[in-house]
Amino acid sequence: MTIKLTLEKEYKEPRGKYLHLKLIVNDKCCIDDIVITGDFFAYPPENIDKLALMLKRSALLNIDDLMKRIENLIKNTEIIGINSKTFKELILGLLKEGLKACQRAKER
Amino acid sequence: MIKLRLIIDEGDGAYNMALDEAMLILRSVNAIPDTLRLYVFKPSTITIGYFQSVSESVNEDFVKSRRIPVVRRPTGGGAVYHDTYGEITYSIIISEDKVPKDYVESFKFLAEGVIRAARILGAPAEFKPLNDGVIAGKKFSGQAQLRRLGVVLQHGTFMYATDTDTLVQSLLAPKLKLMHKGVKAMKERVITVSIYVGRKINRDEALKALIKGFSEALNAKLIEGSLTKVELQLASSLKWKYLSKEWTYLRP
Repeated sequence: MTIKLTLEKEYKEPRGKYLHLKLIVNDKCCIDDIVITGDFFAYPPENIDKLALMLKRSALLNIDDLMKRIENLIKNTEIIGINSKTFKELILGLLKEGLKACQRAKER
Repeated sequence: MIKLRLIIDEGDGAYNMALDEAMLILRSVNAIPDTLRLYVFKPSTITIGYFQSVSESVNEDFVKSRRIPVVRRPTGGGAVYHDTYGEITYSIIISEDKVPKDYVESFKFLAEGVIRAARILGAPAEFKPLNDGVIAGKKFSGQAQLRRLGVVLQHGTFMYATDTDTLVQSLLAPKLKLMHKGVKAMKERVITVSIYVGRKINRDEALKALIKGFSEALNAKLIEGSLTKVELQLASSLKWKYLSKEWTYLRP
């Protein structure tokens, strides 16, 4: 039986925009899906979609590698309304929480 | 002084977004000139930003009961209620070399027309970064922008007499967002030009103010024109994207 864990994070930048992250992880510690929504702007906007697509079906155990790929995409994206560093840290934070949660689920 | 073709138009949400995208594409190959389009959504419609989720930003039960369509924009930003009888949307399609490179500066530069239009009608409007027009600290206008192939598409709202009761019932704002603004309800955040000046402004007045406002703000000669065959054909093809459930519900 495959267990799916859903983790979410919400953030509102002071005098900026809103970001909502939703991560769905399975008990094999793979990302089933990541949804990035909000009222921010990003240029080019497709890079946010590429980011979500890249993370989908990735193994959380390779979190360092995932982070390098996220950094690479974000550095080529101008995000308006959310500080880029904060954006990256929120995603990384959620991925780390996802990894802990699925490891706990595996132990049970 | 720059020259801008002026288009005054109306249509449903999918057509309006399709035409904005069509103009962006066609301007990039010099098939059309720099353009200011002033348009009305008919019927009243909700548009959501490219990165939003319908379920997070729209009260779906309410909009279904009122048959208010929801359309996803190609541009980022937040959810908007376009009232047929109270709001005019502008879109500017212009070569990138005519606007500030910095995105927030360019939001302000291209939104100056709506700020001036509100002042012409008697409201002390100001631009509030990142992308809002405000009167007495409350929002009457929002802007959103897309850049592609050396062209900028900026579109934004001018709420001259929007039915704010329908607006606040249609749109959802995350509690986190409202908390940060120190308000308990969306209604405290929004205003229309009519509410401020204390009388109902009609569409004709709003249109005239916008034409004067943009002409002054951009130091532009506005030449009223009509849509070309190729614009209408491309918009007609793109309309299917904006009507599709796959596009509208792109994000769960």
